[in-house]
Amino acid sequence: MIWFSLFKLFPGMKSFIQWCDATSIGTYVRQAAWAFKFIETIHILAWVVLLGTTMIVNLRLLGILRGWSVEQIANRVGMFIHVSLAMVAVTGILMFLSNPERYYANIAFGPKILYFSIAVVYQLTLYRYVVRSTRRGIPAWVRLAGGFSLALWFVVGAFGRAIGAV
Amino acid sequence: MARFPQWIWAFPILAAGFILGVVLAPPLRSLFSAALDVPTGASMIGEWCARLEATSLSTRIRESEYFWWFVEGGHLLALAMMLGPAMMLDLRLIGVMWTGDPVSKVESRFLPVTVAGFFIVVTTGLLLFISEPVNCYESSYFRIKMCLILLAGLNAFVFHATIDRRRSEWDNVLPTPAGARIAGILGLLLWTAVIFAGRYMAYTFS
Repeated sequence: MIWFSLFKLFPGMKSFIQWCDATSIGTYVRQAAWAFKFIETIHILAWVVLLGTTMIVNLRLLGILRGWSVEQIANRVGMFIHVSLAMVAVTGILMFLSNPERYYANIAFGPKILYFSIAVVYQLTLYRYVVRSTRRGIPAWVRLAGGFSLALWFVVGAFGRAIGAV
Repeated sequence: MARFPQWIWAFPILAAGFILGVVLAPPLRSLFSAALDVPTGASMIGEWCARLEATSLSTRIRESEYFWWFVEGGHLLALAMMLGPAMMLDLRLIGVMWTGDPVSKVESRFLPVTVAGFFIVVTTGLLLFISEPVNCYESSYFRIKMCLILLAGLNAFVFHATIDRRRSEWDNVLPTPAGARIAGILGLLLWTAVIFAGRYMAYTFS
């Protein structure tokens, strides 16, 4: 089950979707000519920063980028990851509110939300443990964890792009 | 894991170029013939774009089921790969982040990743352009984007040719020289503008 719509998974959310559709913010984003394009561009910009900065940490874990300890890099880049994560979420919610029924039924939106949730939970919990466990050298499983994070964000991005394609 | 020399990036890029060349060899010939025919219309570039769009390579990418999306996704991913480290270097030049490390260290660590990302962005971007050159040529956002990329390239070139040459004098000095700060701020602004122009360009296509 790679492609699935949230409608198939949670058909009971229909009334919530209708409520989203009627919100004043959603109506505004839908009707203002400039709003959706601008918000989507900010969404992409924030996503580029998010992927670029997580990639820096992951490249360090994989041993390609050197010169600092994993913790040093993770601490310095962490602020960018969290701010861009918040920006991606806010702009994403605004875009969702502009046309909730479309996204609810979109077969790429379901997997995107699924993998995004996994990636966020992973980034905020397990990943910290991974970063902390690198004080005495980088074991193989930590490299694997870095590659997993990289792949996870790639997949989120790919499904995000696919929303406009399916 | 062995410590790789910095030019290790050349190998995957060359390998990718070779594979791409082998896969696309017959259509590539039609690309050259489009370039060699002398255009006769009022706008030489427009004529050439129209001829390019008629080539088999362009048609093949445009009408492919997955390849176009694959290239476009790669364009975005490589953009992140390029701009994440570039942003770090720019912030060091402005004097905001990584101030505990010398500029030479930050530059030598992050620039190879940026350059590798840049090559992928250019390759995928070229393929995307080849798939619909007339649309691109007629889009004013595309022209703006190309100008902005030229300016960003000029910014990087001027920085490396002038202030960066004398880096040993200000490697550890804070605040960084005005030229370095200007180069950093211009870099951040120009690439943000490039992303805006690129996204708005795509809105005019469909």
